Amino acid sequence: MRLTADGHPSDELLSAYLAEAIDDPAVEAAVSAHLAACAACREQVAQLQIITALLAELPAPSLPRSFALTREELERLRPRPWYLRYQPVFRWASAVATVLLVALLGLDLLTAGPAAREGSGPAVNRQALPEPTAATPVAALSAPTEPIAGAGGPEGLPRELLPAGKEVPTESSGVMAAPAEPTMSTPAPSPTPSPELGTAMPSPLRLAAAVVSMVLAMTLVLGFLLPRLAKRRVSRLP
Amino acid sequence: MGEYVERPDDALVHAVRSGEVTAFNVLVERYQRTVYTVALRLLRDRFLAEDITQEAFLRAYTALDSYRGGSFRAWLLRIAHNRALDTLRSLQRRPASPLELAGTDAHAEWSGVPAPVSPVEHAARIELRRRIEAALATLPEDQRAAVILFDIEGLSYEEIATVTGVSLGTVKSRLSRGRARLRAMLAADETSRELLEGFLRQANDGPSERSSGSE
Repeated sequence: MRLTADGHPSDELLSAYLAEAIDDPAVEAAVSAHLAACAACREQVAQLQIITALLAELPAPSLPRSFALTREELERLRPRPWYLRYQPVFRWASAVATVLLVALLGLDLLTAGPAAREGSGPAVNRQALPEPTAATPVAALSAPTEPIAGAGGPEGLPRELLPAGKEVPTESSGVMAAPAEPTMSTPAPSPTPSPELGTAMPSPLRLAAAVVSMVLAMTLVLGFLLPRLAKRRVSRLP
Repeated sequence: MGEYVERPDDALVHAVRSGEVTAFNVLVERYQRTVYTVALRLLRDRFLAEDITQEAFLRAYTALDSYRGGSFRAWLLRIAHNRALDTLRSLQRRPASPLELAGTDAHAEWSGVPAPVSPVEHAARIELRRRIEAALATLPEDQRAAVILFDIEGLSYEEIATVTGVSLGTVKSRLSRGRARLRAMLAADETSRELLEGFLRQANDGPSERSSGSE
């Protein structure tokens, strides 16, 4: 096989041979055969080898400075999702809510006896308000507003910590209706509360505990579950 | 940041995407020298190379979602290479200046240097390297990029194809032409040719001594 007009492989072909970049095996074999017979071409290949070896050991220039991005650039150029930005707040809120919930439930257990009797007192007062329309759904919605205010003490702390306050009232009021409902469905209040009626009505402690457990559930979802789900979604990207 | 240092590129990219933005600076630390060196050898201007390196990392950071796996190094260098070519074209009429590499010898990183050589050989090696570097600076930019990325930075053909946006065949032919041109330039210069021949004699002496020793 004749490689070039003068019989010798071109500089480029020798370079490709050295880099094992000749795709045609027939050409490669021809260059190989030529090199075995031609000292001049062998010398060219040897020169190329020296040049590439010296290229590989060229010293790297010194860096003028570090190119690390500043904290400000990292935050500004890639805004993180809101639930990641407030993740520490959610996590702290969930811790506080857990402590609060345990305290409330413990208190409830300790005062179980008297709470059953005394708890009925305010419940009666509350029911006096919606009494005329006790059976209508409008009343069922408006009724829980007072229990929330009543439970404002324990709930206030986690609510302050939650920046996404928008979701707190909707969630809690929706759930608040559930524990409040039994008071609606109970027959007209009798001035002398029977023991079984007292146990059916949630005490302020339990209402507070219900609110706190809702807050706890939400902060757990926002602070732990959502970031984890987001991370899994990201890592599934190609 | 220490917790990230050992993690592979793709794991760091995932960390950044899921909100751990500081993980990106581990990638910066890992590749800033490569990006800066390539930019400097392409542009032959330290200030431009510095600008382009900074810009490449900022662009890579904001466009990180468009990285689709493969070689992060190649993806990053592609950004830097494109930016460097834009700059080169906008400076087309700028007179060529010799490559200025401050502190080159002070910060020399010797890789693959054989066993201690005599001071004369060492001086010859440095001199020949300097001439190779000067010849490299005069190569056409596409061949220069191929030689820089393959012979100096050690990228694969596939990575270079990604960086320069051309086919594998084109990468190979650019590299072959670039090396051939380097050799032709050095062989045409008398001092360089003598230095090369000196190295050749050394290389030829080595094996013959070994073969005579084994007989």
